[in-house]
Amino acid sequence: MKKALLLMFLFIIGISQNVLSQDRPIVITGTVKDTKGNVVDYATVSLKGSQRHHDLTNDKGQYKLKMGTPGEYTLVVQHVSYQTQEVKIKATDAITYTQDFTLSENTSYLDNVVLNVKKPIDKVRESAYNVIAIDAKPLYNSSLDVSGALDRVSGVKVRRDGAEGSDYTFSMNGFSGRHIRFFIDGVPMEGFGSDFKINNIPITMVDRIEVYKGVVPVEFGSDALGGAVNIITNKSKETKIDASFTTGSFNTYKSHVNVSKVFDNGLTFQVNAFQNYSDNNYKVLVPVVNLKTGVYSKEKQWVKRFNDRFQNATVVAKVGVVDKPYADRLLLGFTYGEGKKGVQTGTIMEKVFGQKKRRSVTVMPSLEYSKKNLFVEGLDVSLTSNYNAGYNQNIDTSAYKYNWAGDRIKTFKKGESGGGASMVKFYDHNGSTSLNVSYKLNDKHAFSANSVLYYFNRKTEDPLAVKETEAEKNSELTRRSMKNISALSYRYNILDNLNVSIFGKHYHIKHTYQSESTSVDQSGYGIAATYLWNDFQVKSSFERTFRLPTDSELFGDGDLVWGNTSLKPEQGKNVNLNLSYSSVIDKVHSVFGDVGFVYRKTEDYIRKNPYGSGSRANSVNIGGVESIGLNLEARYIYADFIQVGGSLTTQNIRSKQKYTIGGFNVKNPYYNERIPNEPYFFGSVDAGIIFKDLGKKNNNLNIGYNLRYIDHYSYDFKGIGMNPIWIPSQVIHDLNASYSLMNNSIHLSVEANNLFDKLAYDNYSFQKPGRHFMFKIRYSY
Amino acid sequence: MKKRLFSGALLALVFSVFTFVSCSSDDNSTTQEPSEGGGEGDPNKELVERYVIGASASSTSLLLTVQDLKKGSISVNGNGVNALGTTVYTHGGNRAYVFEYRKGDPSGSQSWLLNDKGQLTMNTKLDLPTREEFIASMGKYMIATTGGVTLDGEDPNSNKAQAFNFIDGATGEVAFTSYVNVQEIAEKGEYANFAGLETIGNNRFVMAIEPMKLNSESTTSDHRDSAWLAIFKFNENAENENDKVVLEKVVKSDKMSFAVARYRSSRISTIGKAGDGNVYLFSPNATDSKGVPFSSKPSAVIKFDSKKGDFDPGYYYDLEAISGTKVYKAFAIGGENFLLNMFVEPSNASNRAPANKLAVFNVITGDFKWVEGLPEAENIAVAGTPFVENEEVFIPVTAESKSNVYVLDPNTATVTKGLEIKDLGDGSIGTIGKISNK
Repeated sequence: MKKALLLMFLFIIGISQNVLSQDRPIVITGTVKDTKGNVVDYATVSLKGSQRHHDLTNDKGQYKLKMGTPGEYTLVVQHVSYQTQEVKIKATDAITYTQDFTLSENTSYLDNVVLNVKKPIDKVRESAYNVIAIDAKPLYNSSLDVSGALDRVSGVKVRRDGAEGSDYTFSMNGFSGRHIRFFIDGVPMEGFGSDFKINNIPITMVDRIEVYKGVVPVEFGSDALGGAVNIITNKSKETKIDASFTTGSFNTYKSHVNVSKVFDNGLTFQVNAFQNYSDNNYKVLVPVVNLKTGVYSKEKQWVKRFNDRFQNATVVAKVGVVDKPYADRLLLGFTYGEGKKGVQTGTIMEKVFGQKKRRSVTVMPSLEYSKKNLFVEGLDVSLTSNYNAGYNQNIDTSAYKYNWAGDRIKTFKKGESGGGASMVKFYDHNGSTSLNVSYKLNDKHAFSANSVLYYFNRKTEDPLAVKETEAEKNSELTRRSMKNISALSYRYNILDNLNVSIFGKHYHIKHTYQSESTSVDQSGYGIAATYLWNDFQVKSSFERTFRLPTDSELFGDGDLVWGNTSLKPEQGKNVNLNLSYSSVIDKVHSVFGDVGFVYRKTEDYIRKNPYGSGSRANSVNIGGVESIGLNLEARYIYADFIQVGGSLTTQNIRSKQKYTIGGFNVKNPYYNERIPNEPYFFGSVDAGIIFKDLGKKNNNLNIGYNLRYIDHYSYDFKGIGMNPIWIPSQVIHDLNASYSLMNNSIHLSVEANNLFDKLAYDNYSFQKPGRHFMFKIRYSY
Repeated sequence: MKKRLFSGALLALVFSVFTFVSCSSDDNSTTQEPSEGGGEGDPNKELVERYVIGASASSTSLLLTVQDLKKGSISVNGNGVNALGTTVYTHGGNRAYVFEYRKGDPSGSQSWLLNDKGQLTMNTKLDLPTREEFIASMGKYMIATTGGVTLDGEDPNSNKAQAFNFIDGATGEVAFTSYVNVQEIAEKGEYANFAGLETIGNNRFVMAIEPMKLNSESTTSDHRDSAWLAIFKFNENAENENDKVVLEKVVKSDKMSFAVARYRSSRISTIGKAGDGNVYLFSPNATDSKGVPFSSKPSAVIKFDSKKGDFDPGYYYDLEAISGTKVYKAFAIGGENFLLNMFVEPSNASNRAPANKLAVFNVITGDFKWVEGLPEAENIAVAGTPFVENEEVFIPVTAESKSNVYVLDPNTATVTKGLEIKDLGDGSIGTIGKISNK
C-alpha cells in the first residue's frame, strides 16, 4: 500500500511539473455589479462567437476566463434581470487582465425579485427526466449529512436505525436496496467503502443532489430499476476555504474542511477532510433482561445506549489541472477513510450487544477527466475511474452477554451474536470506469454514448470462524464479476420549448466463481420528453429497465444455497408524468409547484424457492410489484424574507405475485396486497424566515422550521395473525436558527431536533433520538 | 401383539409420571406467579385443551390454536399470535415453548399458557446467551442445549464445551446453566458435537455424537465407521452449576457411522426412544456435494439398551439395503414405530440435498414401509416433526404450496389429509403440540 501511495505521489509531482513548464495562459477576470454596487451572481460571461469560453459569476460577482492565444476578444455579459453588455478587450501577453462590468437593470424586473436565471439547479429541473435537484447551499449551516437532505424529497424516504452513522435504507417510490443506485459526480458509488457514504458525507461538501425517479439518463450507466441519486460535489474555480465544526447532544463532534485552490496556470488541488464522532448514547424505552433468569422485564425502562459510538474520518484529495486545451478537468484523486462503529443491537432492538463492533477502511484512488468541445465544437468527453481496495470488518469476540442496563454476565463462548465469534474481514475490491461521449450537432440534435465497466472481486477472511460444513469452508473463496452497461441516447429539440430524448441500454454481466462462469445479457430502452408552456412545464418519461442477478443468486454459496444460472434479470417498466409551475407574481411572490405521477411495474423478482432442495432451482423469477404514486412539492417565497415549502407522497405499492412459488398453480393470498414494511403516506413541511442586516449591515439571521410526517404502516402483509405489528404514525418537529456575520464568512447555527421529544421510529422497534441539540460554526472564504 | 400392549402400558406409565411431576411443580409455583393463565391450578375449573400449531407467513411466525387436527381448516388471516418461532415444545401439558433459531442474533424463547377461553397468553419471554439446538422436557425443567461454547469464554485455548440451559418449565425462567467439556471424550484429537436428546429415566439422558477433528483446518473426523452415544447424569443437588450435568460415559459401536444429520450449519437429531424405553440410533452416512459417502458403512440403525446402558450387540438393520436410500431424520412415533425422513437419492445425500421421502420403520420387526398418500417428495417443502397422541400420529406437511396436518396410520403407513392451514402464501407449517389450561 505504501508503495502505491509513493508511486501516486511521484505521479502527481510529475504531472504538476509538466503543467508548470507550459506557457501561462491569458486570464481575464473581473467583477460584475449592478448600478447600485451590488454584486450580480449567476451572470454569464462569455466570449462572443465561442462555446468554449464562458463562466458564471459566483456569489461575489466574480468571473474568470482563460484564453490560450493572444488576440482581441469580445466579452458578453448576460443576465435575465439586466441588460446584456459587450466589451472588447485586447489581450496580448500572458498576464491577468481585469475587466469589471456594471450592468443596468432590465426595466421589467425589480432588484429584490427572486431571480429567474438558469442556475444548474434549474437546468436540472427543465430536463425531461423526473428529476429533483436539492440545492445543498441553503443547508450548509445545518448539521445534516447527505441522507438527511435526501429525506426531504417527495417520494423518498431515508429510514435510519438510529442516530449518527447508523444503518439506513433509502427507498424511492417503493424501491430500495439494489434497485436504486448512487453516484458521486457521475461516478458509481457501488464499490465505495463505508467511510464515504450518504450517511457520513457532510452537506458542505456537496453543491447539489439530483434525484432521478425511475427513469435514469444514459450518463448514469447502471442497472437501477428504481432510479438513481447523483451527488454533485463542490467544484470551485476559485481559491476557497470552507470549514465547519458541529457539536451537540450525545457527545457529537463533526468537522469538515474544504480547501480548494486554482492557480493561474491551471494547476489545482482540492482537499475535503471530514470527521464524525458521536457516542450516540441517547435514551431508549426498552424492556431490560434479568441476566440471571434471562427474563425480559414486563415494564419498559428508559436506558442509555452504550455501545453505539460512531467515529469516522475521511480525506478526499484531488490534484490536477483545469481549463487546459486538452482538458477542462484532469484530476487524480485519492480517498482514504477509516471508521469504527459500535453495534448496539441485533435485528430488533430487544437484542443488545455490548461490545460488538464494525470497522472499515476505504482506500480509493480515482481519476477524472473531462473536456468540452474536444477536437470539434460540441463534442464533450468525460472519463472517470475509481478502485476501492478497502475492507469492512465485523468484530464480535466478547465472552459476555449484556442487557440494556449495561450489566453483563459471562457466557462461556466468544461472540455475542448467534453465529459465534467473528473477526471476519470483507475485502470488496470493487472498481468502475465510465466513459461518456456526447456530441451536440447543432441546437436541434444531440447524441450521447456511455459505457460503464464495473468489476467486483469479493474475498472474506475470518481467523475465528469454525468451518464444519462445506459452505463454511467455501465462504472464503474469491468471487469475481464484471458488469458492463453501455447506452446510447439521442435528443431532439423539436421546438425551443419541446424536446424529446430516446435511449437504449445494453446490460452485460459475467460472474466467475471457482471454475464456473456465466454471463447474462439484456437490452432496455426508454423515452423522455418535456414541453414548456409559459410558466408550466410538462415532463414525461418511460423506461424499460433491468436489474441483473448477483453472483450468489446465480451460483449460490457452493453448498447450501444452490444457484440457478438460468435466472433472468429482474425487469421493470417505469412511467413518470410531471406537471410543474413556477412563476414570479407581482415581482415579489415566487411560486413553485410540482405534481408527479409515477407508475412502476417490476416483474420477475428473484426469490428463494422453498422447494429448492428438490430437483428445482434454488432461486426463481416470480411475481413482482406494482406501484402507483403521487408526489407533490410546493414552495412559496416572499421576496428575500419568508419561504414555505413542503412535499407529500402517497404511494400504492402492491404485490403482483399471482401464484405461490413452486409452480403448483396455487393463488398467492397476498396478491394485490400492500407491500409490507413500506411507508405509503408521508410528507414534510419546512418554513424559513430571513432577517437581513440584523445588528449590522450584511449580518443575516435565518430561522427555520421543519416538520416530518409519516403515516402508520404495517410490518407485514395485512391480515396475518391476530395482532399485526404496526409502525405508528409520527410527527417530528425540528427548529433551527443561524446567524451569518462578517460579510457572510462566519455562520453560527443552533438546532433543536425532535423538539417535542417524541418517540421516533423509522423501522420496526428501532428508536431514534429524542430531543437533541446541535451547534455549528462555519467559516467560508 | 403382546409386545405392543406392553409398550403401550409403559408409555402410559411414563406419561402419568410426567403429568404427576409437572402437576406437582405447578402447585408449587402457583403461589409465586400471577394467575395469568386464568386461575391456573384451580382444580374445579373446566378443562380447556388446544392443539398449538406453528406456522410462518411472509416474515411473521405465528402460533395457532385448534381443537381438531383431523379435519377442517384455519386461516392465518386474523388468527394466531405472533411468536418467536414455529417449532412448538410442550412442558407439563400446560406450557407451550418456542425457541428462536437465528444466526445473526442471540436466541430468544417464549413460554405460552392457555387461558380458559382457549387462547394463548404469553407467560415469559427470554433472552438467551446462545442459540438453542435441542430442547426436551425433563422433570420440572426444559433443557435447551447447544454446542459452540468453551469452558472459559475468555480463554481461547480452553476446551470446547456443550451448554445445558435448564429452564424452569413452569415459570419459563432460566434456573441455571451447566457447561460440559466435549473435547476428547470419544476419540483422541477430536471433539464432539451433539444432536438429539432423549431421557432414559433414573435422572439420565443421552445425546448422539458427531465427531469433529480439533485441528481447525480440516474438521472432518478420522473416525468414520463408528457411532457414539453420550450418557449424561443430571444431579440437581450438586453445588456447582457445572457439576449438575455430568458426562457419565460414552458408548461406542463399530456397526455403523455416527447418528447425526445436518441441515445448513445446524445439527439434526436422528435418534429416538421407542415404547420399550430403548434409544434407537440412525446413521445417515451422508455424502458430500460430490456424492462421496462419509463412511464405508451404510445408513443403518442400532439399539441402545437403556437399562444396560450400552449398545445391544445383536441389534442391527442395514437401512440402505432395506430402503435403497439413506436416512435423513428419524422420529419415534410411539410403540415400535419410527417415522423416517429419507433422502431421495442415496448418491446425493449431502447437506440440503433432496429428502422428504417418508417411511415407517418398525424397530423390533424390521418392517419397512414407504408412507403412501403424500405428494411427491420433490413437491414437499416441509415434513416436520410428527406429533403423537394416543397412538395417533400427525405429521405437519407443507407440500405443493399447501400446508396440512396429515394423519398417519403407522400400521399401514398410509396418511390422510387432516386440518389445513390456509393463507400461508410462500410460508410453511411448523410443528404441533397440545396444552391445557390447567
